[in-house]
Amino acid sequence: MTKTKPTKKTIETANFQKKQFFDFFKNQAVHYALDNHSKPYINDLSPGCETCINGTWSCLFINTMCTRNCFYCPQDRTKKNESLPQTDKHIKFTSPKDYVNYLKKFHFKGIGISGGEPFLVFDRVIEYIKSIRDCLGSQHYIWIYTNGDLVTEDKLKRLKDAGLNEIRFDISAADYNLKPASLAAKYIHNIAVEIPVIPEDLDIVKSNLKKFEDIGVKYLNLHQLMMNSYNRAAFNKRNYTVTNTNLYRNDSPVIESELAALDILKHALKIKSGLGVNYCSRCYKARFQGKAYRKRYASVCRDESESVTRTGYLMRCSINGTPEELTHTRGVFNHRGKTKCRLTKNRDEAILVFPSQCLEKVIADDPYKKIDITYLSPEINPLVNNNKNEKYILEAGSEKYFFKKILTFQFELTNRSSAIFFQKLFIEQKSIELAAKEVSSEYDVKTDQMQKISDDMKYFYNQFIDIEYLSKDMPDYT
Amino acid sequence: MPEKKHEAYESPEFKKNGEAVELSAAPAIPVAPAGPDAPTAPMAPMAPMM
Repeated sequence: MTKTKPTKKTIETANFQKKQFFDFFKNQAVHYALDNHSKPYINDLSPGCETCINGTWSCLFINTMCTRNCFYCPQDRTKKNESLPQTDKHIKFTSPKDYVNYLKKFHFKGIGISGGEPFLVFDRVIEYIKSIRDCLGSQHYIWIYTNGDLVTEDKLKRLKDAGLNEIRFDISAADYNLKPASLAAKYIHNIAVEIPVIPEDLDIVKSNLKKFEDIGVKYLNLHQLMMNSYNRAAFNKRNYTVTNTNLYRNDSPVIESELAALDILKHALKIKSGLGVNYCSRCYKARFQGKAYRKRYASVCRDESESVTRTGYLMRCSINGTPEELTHTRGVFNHRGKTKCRLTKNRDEAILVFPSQCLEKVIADDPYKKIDITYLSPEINPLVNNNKNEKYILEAGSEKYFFKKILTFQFELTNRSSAIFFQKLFIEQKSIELAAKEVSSEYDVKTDQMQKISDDMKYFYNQFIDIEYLSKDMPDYT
Repeated sequence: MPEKKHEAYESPEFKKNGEAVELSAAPAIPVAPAGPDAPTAPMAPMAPMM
């Protein structure tokens, strides 16, 4: 059973509260990673978080079993068998060597070892860390997540000797017990507390900020609770309000959790905490972890006729026509081998996919030609490809991984101005003001029409903002 | 040679995910992506869908 939709009043109140927090932050020493409101923080970020921001973080789920059964856990806790280490949803590794090859191939700089509870497969953890250090040297930043249940002095020594940089404790899973973190601070250079923010536990976290510092914790990473099929019943029991279900397809962020996280950040500012406190919202993850994922695989999935956007999508421009017409167009574009077009045709009709730099020529040739703009999300899958000649992207263990492109957005530009707007804003990457000015000069426009062009341009831009750019502000709850 | 001027400006016409976009009726705010959510990287301690 799902919870009934929140009332308009609930949403309005939550939006007002969120705005109040951000208004408070305006005159405070709050930083925004990537200049984006979805990741506010104070003092410093962990070097591991920096690698996530740079898009060079690999999270290795080294196992699936756990010592706890937290109500908020987003994983299937009914599984009874341990699994192979895996990453990015589908990619499994049968040996540390395979994983190191993967790290090298995609240029990762930070490795976070998660689970399950990684200490349940402690020897495996040590084996992977040692392999990374042996093959890649000391430059990579390696950390591990744990609830602390199985932490011992001996294991901490072994982790230190293997070359671990940081341990992140989810103390919310262990009744906010700080003993394991306190012990770890003696051996491991950086200690973090990393928790999902449980609204009911807000006061516990706030009252512990000073203690965190006293025992040697450097960073406090706050996550937004997210509801999915595995924890839905527990979340409904607690009467949480979820939002933005269209933006985040597979899970729903909890409003009360975000407001509590912002409250902790505000409290940390008020007491002048020296902790690096970082709120890692679901919105940040959707925008920037999603972008990093796409960029990682876009370069290996890209066809020569496609371009990679700043947000990591593969962008494809295409036109339809007769085979004769488009064969001719392809010949013109491919003249001297400068561009690479892809022509698909049958007896009566054809589709020509052309590189974005040819768009201007297409518009000039026929101002009323319908132009399709398609955005695809690249991913790699261990599927056995039907085409035996298809090149695989990655080999790990007994699996071969092939690329897949998921149709994500599609636009049909059906008149000249839409094609020109697209050309100026997203191919030439001009500002809205400059693009509007240039369009105005290309027409015999009257003064009163210039405002209309400017308004049209802003609206057109907004239609693409989450695709071509990533919004700076947090979206309102809906 | 002076740049060729086009006769009259008309508002852009386009379709988004197969649906015609009416500029006059549309809200002037960013629209949430209608396509499938991009597979996000794992989020420890919040794991992705396995």
